[in-house]
Amino acid sequence: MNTKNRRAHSKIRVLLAKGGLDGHDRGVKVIARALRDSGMEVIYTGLRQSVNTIVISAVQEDVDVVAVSVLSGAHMTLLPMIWKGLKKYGKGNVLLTGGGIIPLEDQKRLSKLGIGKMFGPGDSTAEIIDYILGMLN
Amino acid sequence: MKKHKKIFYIPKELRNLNYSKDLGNPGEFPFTRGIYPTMYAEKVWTMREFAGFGLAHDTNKRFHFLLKHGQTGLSVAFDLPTLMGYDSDDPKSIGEVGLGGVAIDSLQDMEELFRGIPLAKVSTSMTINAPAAIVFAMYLACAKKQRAKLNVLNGTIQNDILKEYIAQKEWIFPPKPSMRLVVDSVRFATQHVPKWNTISISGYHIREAGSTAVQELAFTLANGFTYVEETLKTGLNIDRFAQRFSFFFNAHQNFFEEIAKYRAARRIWARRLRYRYKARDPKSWRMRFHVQTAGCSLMAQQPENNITRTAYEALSAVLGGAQSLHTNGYDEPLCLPTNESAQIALRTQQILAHELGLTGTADPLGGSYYVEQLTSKMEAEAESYFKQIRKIGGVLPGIEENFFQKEIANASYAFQKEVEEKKRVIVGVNEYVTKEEMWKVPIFKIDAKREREQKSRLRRLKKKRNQAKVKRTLDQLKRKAETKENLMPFILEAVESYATLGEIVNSLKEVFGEYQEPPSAL
Amino acid sequence: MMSKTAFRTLVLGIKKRQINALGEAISALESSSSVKFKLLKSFQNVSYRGCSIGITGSAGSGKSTLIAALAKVIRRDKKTVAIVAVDPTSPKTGGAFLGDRVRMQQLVEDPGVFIRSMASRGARGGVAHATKDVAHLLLKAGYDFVLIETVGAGQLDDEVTKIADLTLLVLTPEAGDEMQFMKGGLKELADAFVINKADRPGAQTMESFLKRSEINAPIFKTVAEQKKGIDPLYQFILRKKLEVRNNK
Repeated sequence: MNTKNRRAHSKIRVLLAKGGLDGHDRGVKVIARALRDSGMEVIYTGLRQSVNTIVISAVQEDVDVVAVSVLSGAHMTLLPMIWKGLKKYGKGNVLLTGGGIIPLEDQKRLSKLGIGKMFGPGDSTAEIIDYILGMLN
Repeated sequence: MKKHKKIFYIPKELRNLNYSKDLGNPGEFPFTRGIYPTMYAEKVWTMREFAGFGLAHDTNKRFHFLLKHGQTGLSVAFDLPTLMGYDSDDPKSIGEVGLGGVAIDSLQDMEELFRGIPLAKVSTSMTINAPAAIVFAMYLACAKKQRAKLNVLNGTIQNDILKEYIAQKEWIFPPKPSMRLVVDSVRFATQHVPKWNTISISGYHIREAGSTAVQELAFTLANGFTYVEETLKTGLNIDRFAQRFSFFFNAHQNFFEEIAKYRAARRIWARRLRYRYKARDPKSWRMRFHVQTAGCSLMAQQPENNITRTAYEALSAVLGGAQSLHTNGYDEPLCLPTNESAQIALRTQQILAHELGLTGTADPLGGSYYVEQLTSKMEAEAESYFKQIRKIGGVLPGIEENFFQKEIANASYAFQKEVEEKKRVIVGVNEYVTKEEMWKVPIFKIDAKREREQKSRLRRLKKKRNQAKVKRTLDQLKRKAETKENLMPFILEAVESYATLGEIVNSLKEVFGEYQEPPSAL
Repeated sequence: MMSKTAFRTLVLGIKKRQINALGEAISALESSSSVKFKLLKSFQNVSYRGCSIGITGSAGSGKSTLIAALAKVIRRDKKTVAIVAVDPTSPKTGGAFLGDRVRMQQLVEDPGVFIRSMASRGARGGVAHATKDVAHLLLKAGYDFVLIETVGAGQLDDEVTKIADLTLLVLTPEAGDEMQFMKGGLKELADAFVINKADRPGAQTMESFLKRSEINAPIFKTVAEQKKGIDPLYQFILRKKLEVRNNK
């Protein structure tokens, strides 16, 4: 994954997407606030976004980061499809990250595809912010 | 954690309490001390472990396993497509079929789910909300096929749409038509399925979304009042339906606060039902509730610790007088429970019931200076929320204004900050961390071929059934949805013609519209 | 630094209304990069037939819902629409939460609709500094309508009237904050008043109040959530669009 030739922006723009059918946005709202408070522009898609709407939104908003929250367990289906869609629009240098209940083996398989780190319950918002800043600079 | 200014409490805390007015004996108004005189001494709480995954035949096997191992009631979890009213072959269902619950697309699946289980003899709780009326109809149709009489059926359907808009966010239609469906199902059950618990007014999800204990208490009760008021508007007598409303609370970790919460809830509900809604039958004043231990308190790191957390939480529910209890599997943060973790969860309850000497005394904490003070304090704080909600105009306007959602989001953010700043210690997560490889727990995975299997089941069903009959019942349903008639009989007809859940929901969507998520503000 | 070929591809993509070209171009306009100036220069003399509409009003008036409903009607009329939603940057942190897309996501897969969220980035008046350039670029890319949703609306948030061809002021039937508009410039500058959530009690009262305030602009009543009242508003917009074009 190659996020280091992102053109220099004055602001980091993050698409915060809720994939899957579940309605759990507690974590997403907390992260949105934390990212905003760290100076980023957070575009929230709302619940139950399809792969297609997430990809199109990311491209229209020309974001640096796509952070997908999938708590329904469908991450292994959805994340690779989102990654494929982003690459189709030439957005292979966007950082695709996110959160959910992601077992280690799934994490490894996602990394092999070029997808970024996935965060789980217990990871702090500070860690997530540091990760994003680290990957983009 | 709130810093208590007092470290101990003294008799004067009880000074303003009038025993018969504010506490009463267990089984006596206002039921602060419990709704039955003998509580667990006569009958232990129902051990009701939630189950559901994969396809109907998978869950059917788990049901048989649990019944064999001493579980006394069935509790069904549905997958997300079912909860949202999508069939398994809907493009929105990709990757979600059978995950987190059982996939039910039609009466055929329902029949498979309960194969070999006499519905007349078990008590079934179904955790479903937005399409609850339809799934309820499927259960009734299934019972009819087993030749069971509707009036002996025992069970609960969660059917609490208000908390969906506030917390769980699994909605389909806008609030007004959704309330109509809830009231229709209440009225139908009151007449035809009188033993059925029609709404499980839930605080569990509100708490899981990040609310405080007081918010859980206040928002849940406010929703309860709304259901009562809406049903009263149809002319139904309160004593005919109120007894079939039950509640569903969370058992979180602040031990005594949880116990006080349950006691305050009973007292508030009893008083409102008696004095505001003028219920005459004492059974209408009694709040029965189910408890689930807090999923959000369980951590993925060092998951075995979750067994301990769950045990303590379960203890608070028992000391608080719950009627039934679900204890989480320790692998809850990681995946669906394995047979092993489901068994440990059940054993946790059995140990509580048989080994700790808890069941012989009702409300053992009654009279505690601390617990009584805490109970009254929570009641007062809930009343203050009721005032605010009244000012806004009620729960529905409150939902529209994002009042509840904002309160919850703020509480949730404050909690997270406390954890990150280590003001709140979570063992194994921000303290006592061990550098071990995570996710060592055997993870129970759903086979992806389930989705394919279910889709072919659906295809076969659609070929087998009488398509003309399906269309007729759906058209009839749409026509009736435009009127004010009770929709339950027409939903039942559609269900019995083997119309799928998605087809029925889509027909209703044409009339009712779809709810749009309100824009967020932080 | 963008190569000449890349820049040409970008310009072509904009003219074809390709979302990645538009997305990148808007980012360039928000920045102070050389691409921004090249873009402005490239499109300087490009004419357009579309029309921009500013939609302003206090939080809770239902602007996003109204915009989504209006966009649907525009699409039914087989016209294209770009939506720019502006939200405030936090003065303390410099960050922003841009949540307006939530109400518009059902439109996202329609290739005739483009949606972009912008943070005000310190600009006053309800829009961002780059909003004007962005709106013009979208018009020059060929969108029939560019809807600009702006931040809240106090007396000072009338910047959008300077950018957009038309401005709609959205109110709710409950009085209160609405009084502020009557004192500020928006009263004169709005081309139409939209009483949204008009199924609430007080809609009639609000309408009478507006009429008594001697405004010349027409008043529309909508219930955007139920898609009611949008067609007359759209017809009005079409008439004004013709006027605007004829005046250019």
